[in-house]
Amino acid sequence: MSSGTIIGIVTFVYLGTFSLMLVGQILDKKGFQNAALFGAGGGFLLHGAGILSRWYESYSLGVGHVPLSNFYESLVFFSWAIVLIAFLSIRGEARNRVLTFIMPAAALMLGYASFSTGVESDIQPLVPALKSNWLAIHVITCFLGYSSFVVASVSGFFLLRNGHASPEAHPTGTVFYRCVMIGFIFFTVGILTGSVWAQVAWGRYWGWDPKETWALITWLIYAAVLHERIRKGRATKGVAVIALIGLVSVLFTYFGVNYLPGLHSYL
Amino acid sequence: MKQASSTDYKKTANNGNGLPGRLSSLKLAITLLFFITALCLVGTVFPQRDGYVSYGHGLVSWISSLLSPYGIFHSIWFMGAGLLLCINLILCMWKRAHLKRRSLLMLLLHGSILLVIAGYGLGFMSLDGFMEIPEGSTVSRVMLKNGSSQDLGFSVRCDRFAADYYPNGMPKEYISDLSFIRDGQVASRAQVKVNHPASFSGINFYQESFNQSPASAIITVSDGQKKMVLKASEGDILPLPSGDTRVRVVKIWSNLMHAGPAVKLLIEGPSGGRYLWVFRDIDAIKSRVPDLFERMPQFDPSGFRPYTFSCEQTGTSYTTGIGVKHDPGTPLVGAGGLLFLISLLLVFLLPRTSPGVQSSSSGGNPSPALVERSASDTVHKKAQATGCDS
Repeated sequence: MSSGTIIGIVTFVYLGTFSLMLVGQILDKKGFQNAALFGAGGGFLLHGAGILSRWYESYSLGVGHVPLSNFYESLVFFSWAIVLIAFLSIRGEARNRVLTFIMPAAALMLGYASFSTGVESDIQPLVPALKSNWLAIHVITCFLGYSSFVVASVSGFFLLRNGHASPEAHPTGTVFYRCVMIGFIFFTVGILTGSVWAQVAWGRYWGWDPKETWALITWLIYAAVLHERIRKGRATKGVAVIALIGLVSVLFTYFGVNYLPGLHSYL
Repeated sequence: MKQASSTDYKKTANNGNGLPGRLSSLKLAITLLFFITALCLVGTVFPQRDGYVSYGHGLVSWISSLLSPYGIFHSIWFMGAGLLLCINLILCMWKRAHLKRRSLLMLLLHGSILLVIAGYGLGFMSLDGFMEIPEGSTVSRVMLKNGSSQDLGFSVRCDRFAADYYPNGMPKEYISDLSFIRDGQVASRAQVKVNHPASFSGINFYQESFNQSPASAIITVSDGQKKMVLKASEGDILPLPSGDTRVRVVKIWSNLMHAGPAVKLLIEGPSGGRYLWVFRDIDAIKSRVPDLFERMPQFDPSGFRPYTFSCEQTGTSYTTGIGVKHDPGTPLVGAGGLLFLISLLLVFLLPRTSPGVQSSSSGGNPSPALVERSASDTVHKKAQATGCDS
């Protein structure tokens, strides 16, 4: 089975999982929710297999490289990473609620990757600029950072909605802080490895390229989230609002920058 | 435990009035983060230019430089906000140093940002230029970003440039073989590729671009007595001894129809114009196709009497574009980045093993999510360590 077929199947598994989750929450049936969780886990494993299979296919085409080199491959990895982070960082009731947001988001990304005519899904050889050992580590850490920020902001949204007296004591409050912090660490590593790579490839570690500048904007916003939380002593609604602004910034850093002129336009 | 740390935080938070208090406040830090974020946003929407941007003269120039969105990252707003953030960081760190508890880690975390900013500031001393070296040529001057040029004190020769492509036409590799020449001697050789710079005398050399010069050919014209050897490019007109005939070089191929190098000439004489295809390996071609000239008279190199044409060699010549860079601030920025990462990891990981947290979570809420990791403890721990005014 080709990796494209696997990714197609995963898209529908994620959509099915999402429907089960919705039905489970509307009818308040534990059985549906458990089945949904099982489906999400299975889809996630298959998703990982799809990525590995594309990696293998690139080698049989004689242009072997990590499948992180174009927009299609980054969409597939990004959607895998948000499911990974959601599973790793959340337990119990909170996980089901956050996954109700994450699963359709992952399905949408995969659907867009597979069916949009604007996204080239063929395996291409690497252009000289991408032929570097920094490619994998830079892209993986950036996307794990993005994904943690997405999961953090979704839990932040629940903080806002619940209007809990002390959101920090709420399970999603814990998840929120943990994901912001993990995201901040990964994204810092992503920016640093990107800097080292830029120094090696272009002779400057920082050039105010739109992608670089937007990465800095995202980093500054989540730095503000962490500092506002310290200032208030806990994750308040204000902190959650800043995190949601951060989510917009993450999406712009990833998608929006493609519409600005710059060196990163291929990703 | 929780109560005590919370009071600690409030105490330090309340004693910061007046200018030093405000300058060291977390509120200022967060405000500055947002202000810099907004400037960055403007900087990505408007195309940025290098250096100082202004229009007009005198006061108008000063005001336009203040308001111009085209040089955000060199603007007084950006630098001012950066400077204020540094002052805020230093004051905050200085206060924390007086708190003594867990202060070292926070000191490192924020001090490393100062290192990065200081290293970036050293960038004003950097060398940032570009060299265009035709294959086989030697160049010693670097064209700088500001339009001037600078002598390196040694010279760089491009021995060979190659552009390699995948079968589907995508670029695979750009390679320049460089020799660094000092006092007439080759001091070092290096191969420069994208992602593989070379270094000589503390200066780094990067493969940035290339130009393919128009194809050229060595064309020999003989009229039976005299022989002329001419180097010609496409579009050139060859001077022939007889004044009423002009020969124009129309096209040059390095390999035409798998028959080797060839040139296409347009010969214009009193009796009109005609085309002539001149192959370098015409003898070999003719031995394979004996009746070639009968079938294709335009391939006969002696087809235009009294001249016989031949082409010796054809080829494309490349000019490689090499970035020439040196930034003395890079090691400082690298050290700062590494230090920031290490201290960030420690800040995240250390509270887990700190005895204070363990004792308070064991006595706290038994909810599984909270036992797993007590976020509120972390906040209080941080508040103690931060000691900044809100």
